[in-house]
Amino acid sequence: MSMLTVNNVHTYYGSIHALRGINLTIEQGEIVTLIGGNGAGKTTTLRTISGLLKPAQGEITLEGDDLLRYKPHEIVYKGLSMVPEGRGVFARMSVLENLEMGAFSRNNKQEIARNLDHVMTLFPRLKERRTQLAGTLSGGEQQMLATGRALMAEPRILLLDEPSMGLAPVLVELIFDTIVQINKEGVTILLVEQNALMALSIAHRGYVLQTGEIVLSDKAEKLKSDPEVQKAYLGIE
Amino acid sequence: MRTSISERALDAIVSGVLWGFRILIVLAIIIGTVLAIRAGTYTRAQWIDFVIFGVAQGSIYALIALGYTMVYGILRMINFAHGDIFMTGAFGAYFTATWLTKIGFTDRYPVLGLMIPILVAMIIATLIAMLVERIAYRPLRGAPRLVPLISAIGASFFLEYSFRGIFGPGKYAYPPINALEGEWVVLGIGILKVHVVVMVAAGIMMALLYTLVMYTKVGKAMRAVSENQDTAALMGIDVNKTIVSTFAIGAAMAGAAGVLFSLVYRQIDWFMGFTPGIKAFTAAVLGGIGNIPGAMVGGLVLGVFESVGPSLFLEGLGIIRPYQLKDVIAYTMLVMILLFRPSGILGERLTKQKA
Repeated sequence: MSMLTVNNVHTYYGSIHALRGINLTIEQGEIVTLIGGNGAGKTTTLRTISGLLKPAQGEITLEGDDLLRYKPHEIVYKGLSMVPEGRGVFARMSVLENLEMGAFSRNNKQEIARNLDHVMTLFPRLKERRTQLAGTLSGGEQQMLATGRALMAEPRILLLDEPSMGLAPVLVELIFDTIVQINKEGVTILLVEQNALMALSIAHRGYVLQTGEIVLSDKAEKLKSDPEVQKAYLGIE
Repeated sequence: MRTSISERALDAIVSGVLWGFRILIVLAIIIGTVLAIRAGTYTRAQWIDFVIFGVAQGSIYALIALGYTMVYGILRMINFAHGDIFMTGAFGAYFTATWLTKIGFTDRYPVLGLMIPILVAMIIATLIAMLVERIAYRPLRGAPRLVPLISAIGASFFLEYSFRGIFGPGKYAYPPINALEGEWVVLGIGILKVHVVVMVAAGIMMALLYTLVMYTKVGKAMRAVSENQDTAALMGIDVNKTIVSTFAIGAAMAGAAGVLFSLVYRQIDWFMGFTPGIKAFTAAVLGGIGNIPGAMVGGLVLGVFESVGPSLFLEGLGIIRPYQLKDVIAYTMLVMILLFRPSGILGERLTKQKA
């Protein structure tokens, strides 16, 4: 059974038909990336999967379980976490409190403590800043915090929305290395990126989204060498 | 170009008038204060009395203000029915306290005779607030911000006139607790026992609330939802449930405040929530709306200003019945803050943290 399937999903923003029948399949253990230009519907896709937007039509299943039956806050209990676009850290809460919020869906204190240690080893910077208010962190640190926070829910699949946005190249590399590491630890990943080159270099497979439709899907290396993709998303003529 | 010049001139005039207004008020306060102290109408002990009364009154405002500020923090909405929630609590306490006094319970167990009505008031206020949220606010979630505001004013009228219809337009005498008659002498200063009870009870409630918001899972969820509802939902936080808890906790504080208010003024009626409600709203704005410590500070500052102000600067200016102008002080403060410092006393720190 596939980890996540998105079948013929249509989502509207008011009267705008933002997703026009999206189909995605993600297998257990994969890193799958969704690339595309501004306004292609990448964020809408993630927000629909995580329950923040209700699709007008279509099916979304997580390991065979129909996700559309659940309210947004119930979906995290099913093992799906999302790092939202722009990170969405709770600025007026401390780093530690942000991470605690990530574990809101869980009750076992010991497991949470173990998870916290794990996140702190993954991102030592967060340990240094644990009592600081999240709003005072730099962009890169906020991205680490948002990612760490999502991991605190012990997800089986993690959705990341533009983790590289606004970050210096060194930090982008660090974040992407961590994503690979998280994946090696067994978490399936759906990565949305503007930075298509970076995304395709760590992903197993990729989908190309254009004005609300999937126009291309293939192995990541194949997409990377596809002349159309190179021209449109990789800046290679 | 012509419009921009005349616009600039208009701006200059407006800002000049505002500055003039500001300077005038500050001057009035300073001159009034100097004259009042020179005149020496009041003794030191009387000034202390004013301050203590102000703190007692202010802690009641603070308790009510918490509900305004918490709901604003989470929904960006002013719950104008909150003052009437305070009133419903007072009514619940009135019937309980009257009955407890009649059967002689209050005289035998004064502490319980105080606490049971407070508890009843908190429960009734909470239930009514939850009902108001469910019926009048939740269906309007996501509507333009003016819409729930209008609904809140409607809910306020609904509560006021329902209580007027059920219990009549007259005033009810709130039964006194005999053990709380008279004064305690603390450090050579006589303080009415009722005022001590009000201050201590309000202090305990606020400490409990602060602990709840800062350190419990529900409290942290409330803070998370107030920052970003979508992200909070992604954490697994039930946003609706958290919003209801916020209303409930704010209402419990208002209910308790209703009892404390009744103990001080000894009478209740259907309209009693209106003025304290607006005063508490002023306190919340004064402290920085959305800011919990701000509501507490704002309440105390407003209470003390209102209590000391008439004799301190109004009487000094030769105003004949300064106490008639007590409410004017509060409303002038509200207008002044909105004009000159909309972020309130503790507001700036908030925006700095956000940046």
